[in-house]
Amino acid sequence: MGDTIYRQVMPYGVAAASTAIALLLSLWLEPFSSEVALFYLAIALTASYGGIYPGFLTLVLSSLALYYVLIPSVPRFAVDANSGMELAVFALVGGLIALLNGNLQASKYRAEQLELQLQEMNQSLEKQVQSRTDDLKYGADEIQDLYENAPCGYHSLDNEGRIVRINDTELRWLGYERSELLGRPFAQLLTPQSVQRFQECFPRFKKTGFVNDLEFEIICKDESLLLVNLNSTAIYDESGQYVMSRSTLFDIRDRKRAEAALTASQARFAGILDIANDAIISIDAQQNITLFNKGAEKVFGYSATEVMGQPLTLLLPKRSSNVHQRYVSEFAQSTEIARQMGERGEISGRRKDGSEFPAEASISRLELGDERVVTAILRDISDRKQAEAAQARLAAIVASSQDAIISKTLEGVIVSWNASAENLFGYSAAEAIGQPIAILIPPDQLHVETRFLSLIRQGESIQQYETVRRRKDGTFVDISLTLSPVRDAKGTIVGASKIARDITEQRTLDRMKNEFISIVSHELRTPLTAIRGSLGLILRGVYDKKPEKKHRMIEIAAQESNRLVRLVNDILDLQRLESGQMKLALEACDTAALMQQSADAMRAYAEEHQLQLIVIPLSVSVWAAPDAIIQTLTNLLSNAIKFSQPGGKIWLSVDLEDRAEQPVDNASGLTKKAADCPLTRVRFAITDQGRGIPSDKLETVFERFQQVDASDSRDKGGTGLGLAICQKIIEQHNGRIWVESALGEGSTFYFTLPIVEEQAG
Amino acid sequence: MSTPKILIIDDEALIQEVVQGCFEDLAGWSVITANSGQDGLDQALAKKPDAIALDIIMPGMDGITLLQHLKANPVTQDIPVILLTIATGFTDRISYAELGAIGAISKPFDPINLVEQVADFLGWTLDLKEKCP
Repeated sequence: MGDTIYRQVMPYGVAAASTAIALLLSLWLEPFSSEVALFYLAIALTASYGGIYPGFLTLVLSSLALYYVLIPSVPRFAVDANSGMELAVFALVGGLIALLNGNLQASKYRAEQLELQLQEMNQSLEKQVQSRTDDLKYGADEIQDLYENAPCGYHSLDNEGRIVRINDTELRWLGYERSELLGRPFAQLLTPQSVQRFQECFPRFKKTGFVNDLEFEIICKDESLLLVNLNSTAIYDESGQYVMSRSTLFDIRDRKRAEAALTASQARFAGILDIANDAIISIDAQQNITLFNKGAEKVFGYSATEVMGQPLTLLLPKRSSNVHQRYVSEFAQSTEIARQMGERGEISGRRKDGSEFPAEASISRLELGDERVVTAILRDISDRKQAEAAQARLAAIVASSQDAIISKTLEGVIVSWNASAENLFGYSAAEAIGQPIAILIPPDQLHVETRFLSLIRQGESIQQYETVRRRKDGTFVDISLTLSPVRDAKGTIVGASKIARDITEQRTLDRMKNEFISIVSHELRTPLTAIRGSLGLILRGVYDKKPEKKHRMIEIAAQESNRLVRLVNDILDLQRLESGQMKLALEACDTAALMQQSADAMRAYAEEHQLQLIVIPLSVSVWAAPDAIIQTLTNLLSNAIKFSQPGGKIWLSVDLEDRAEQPVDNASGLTKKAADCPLTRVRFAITDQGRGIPSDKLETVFERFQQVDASDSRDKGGTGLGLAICQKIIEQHNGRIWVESALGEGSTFYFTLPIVEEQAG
Repeated sequence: MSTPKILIIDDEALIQEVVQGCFEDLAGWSVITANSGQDGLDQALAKKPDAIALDIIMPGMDGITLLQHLKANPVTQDIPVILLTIATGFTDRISYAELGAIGAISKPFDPINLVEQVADFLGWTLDLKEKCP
C-alpha cells in the first residue's frame, strides 16, 4: 500500500525536483545558455519518468519559475505581449514535450506489462505440457503393466502363426523367456490334439477375424500342461491384409478341476437320489415331471422313462389332482422354501396299477435361473398306517374289553388302566396311573403279589389265578387274574400286563350250578337208594320165605324206578328247552281240542283222587305246539289233583284276555300290537280248591326244585321240575304263566297264548 | 347183649322202609323210625335208642341241625350217630366227625354193606339172618 502511494506520488516529487534543478541550473548557467532549454529538459525527463501528468506539473512549475524568476524585464503581475508570447510558446512546446514523453512512457509501460503477461502464460503452458507429458507417461506405463501382468495371457501371432508379442503373465505360465518365444510358431507349444485344432481354426480365424472359447493344451517349458481358453481378434491393415492376432488366454485348469468335482458331486448326488427309499420327484413350472428317482419307481411302479415329461397328476388320485395342482402352484408362488404337505389331511398317491396309498410328503422349491423347480419327497406310509390301524384296533380292544386290563412296572407301579378297570375297581385312570398296584391288594395277599412279580421278572406268566381285590370304596371283588410279562423292543422284561376278570357273577353261577347238581344228585340218588336197597334185600334172599315182604320190595323198586324215569325225562326236557335245543314248532291249534285232550288224559287220575274235573271249552285258534301245551295242561291239572282234597272240583277254562287284565310289563313277551288290540290272546285257567300257595312262594314255585314243601315230591310223585318246564314252554309261545292263590281256598294257574291273526283281526 | 335198638330218621318213606328191612330183617336189630328231624329228636329223647341212622337232607330240621341238638343234649349226646348221606367227599367225612357223628355211609348202598358198616362203626357183632349160599 505504502509502496503504491509511493509509486503514485514519486513522479510528482520528481516533477518538482526536476523543475527546481532546472531553475537552479538556469540561474547558474544564465550567462551561457538560453533560459528555457533546461526547463524543456526537465519536462521531458519528468514525463519520461512519470508519465504525462507529472510532465504537465513540471510544465506548470517551469512556467511559473520562468515568469517570476528568469524574465526580469517583465513587470510583475503584468503581462506584456512579448513575454506572454514567449511564455505561451514555452507552454506549448513544453506541453508537447510532456505529451510525447508521457505517451512514450505509457507505451513503454504497456509493453512491459504485455511482456510480463506473456511470460506468465508461457510458464503456465510449460507446466501444463509437463503435467500432460507426465500423465501420458504414467498411462502408457499402466497400459504396459496391465498388458504384461494381467491375470490372463496375451499374445499376438503373425500371418504364419508365429508369436510376435507375448505378455509376462503368459510367459510366467509357460516358464519361457520372451526371447525364447518371439518368432516361434505357436503350434510348436501345443499338444498334438491341440495342434490339430489350431490348424483347423487358424486359417478360418484369419478370414473371419475372430475366434471364441477355443480350448488348447499348451506344453510348458517344464513339460507340464496348461489348459487354456482362448479368444482372439484379428488386426488388419488399410488394405485389409491380416497383420496379427490379438489373443487373450485364460488358465482354465482350476475351472476344469471344479467342473470335474461338480460332475463327481452330481454323480454322488444322483447316487444318493437313487438309493433313497423315498420317492423324489421334481417338476417344472408346467408341473411336468423332470426328475423321478429309483425310490419313486419303487413307490409308484412307473419307470422313470415312462413318467419323464408327464404331468404330475399322473401320480395323484383323480379326485384330488386338482387340489394338488393348485396346492403346488400356490406353493411355487409363495415365499416359502420348503413345506411339509398334508398338514390338513392325508396325501394319497396313485400307483401305476391304479391303487392308491397313503403318503407323507414334503415339498421344496429351487430357483434355477428363471425357472422354479419344485421337488417333492414322498414316502409310502401304508405299512405305518396299517401298523397304526392295528395299534388302534388293539387300543380299541383294550378300551372296550369287559376285562380290566392294567399294566404295571416291575416295581408294581400302575402305568395303564382301561375303562373296565375303572368300572371294576372304582379308580379313574388318572387316579390309578402312577400309584402302586398295592392299592388294590388286600394286605394278606401282598406276599402273593411279590411272588408274582418275581415270576414275571423270570419271564413266567400266571394264568387265571382266582383271588380277591379291594375296590376304591373298600369292598372286595372276586377276580380271575392273568399276568404276563411285558417286553420292550429288545426283549427285556419291563413290566407286567394284568387282565382281571370280575368273577362275582361267574361265582354266583357256579354256586347255582353246584346247588343244582347237588339237588339233582340228591333227587337221583334217593330213588336209586330205595331201588338198590330193596333189590339187595330180595337178592340176599332175606324175603324168600316172606312173599308179601318180597312183593313190597319189588313194588318199592318199581315205584322208585318210575320216579327216576320221570325225573330224568324232566331234567332232559328242561335242559333242552333252556338250551334252545328243543324248538317248539308252532301251528294253529283249536283251544277246545287242546283242553279236551288234556282233560281226557287226566280224568282217570282225577277220579282216582275223587275229584270232579270240569272243562268249560271255548274254541279259539291259537299259535301253539299242541304236544307242549297238552304237557303243560296235564302238568297243571296233575298238580291241581295232587294238592286237592277228595270230593273237590277242578276247573279248566279258556277266555279271551281282556285288555284291562293284561299285565303292564312286557316281560311276558306281549307285542305292541297285542297291547293295541285287547283280543289277541287267550288265557287258560286251571283252578283247584286245594290248600293254596303262600304268597312268598307264588314266584318261586316256577323255579327248579322249589316246591312249597320238599316232601311233596315223595308224597305226590313230582320231580320238582314240572312248573319250571311249563314256564319254559309258555315262554317259547311268547305267553305268560303265573299263579294266583289264597291259602286254604285254592289256587288258579293261568297262562296265555297268542291268537291266530285272522281271527284276532 | 339184648337186641340193639336203632332209630332211623329219613324223610323219604321208601328209603326208611328199605333201611328198616335191612336192619330188622337182615341184621336182626330192633328199629324205630322217624320221618323228620323234629320227629327224630322227639323219638331219640323218648326212646333212647342204642344208635341213630340219620339222613342229612330233610325239609324242616335237617340232619346236621338235628345232630347238633342231639350232641347238645345230655340225654342224647352219647348216642352214636351214623349219617346216611348223598355227598360223602373226604372233607365231608371230617366235618361229620367234628360234628360228632361216628361215621357216614353214602347212598345208594348195598344192604349187606350197610349193616356191616353200621355194625363196624358201632362195634356190634353181626349175625346176618337168612344167609344165602
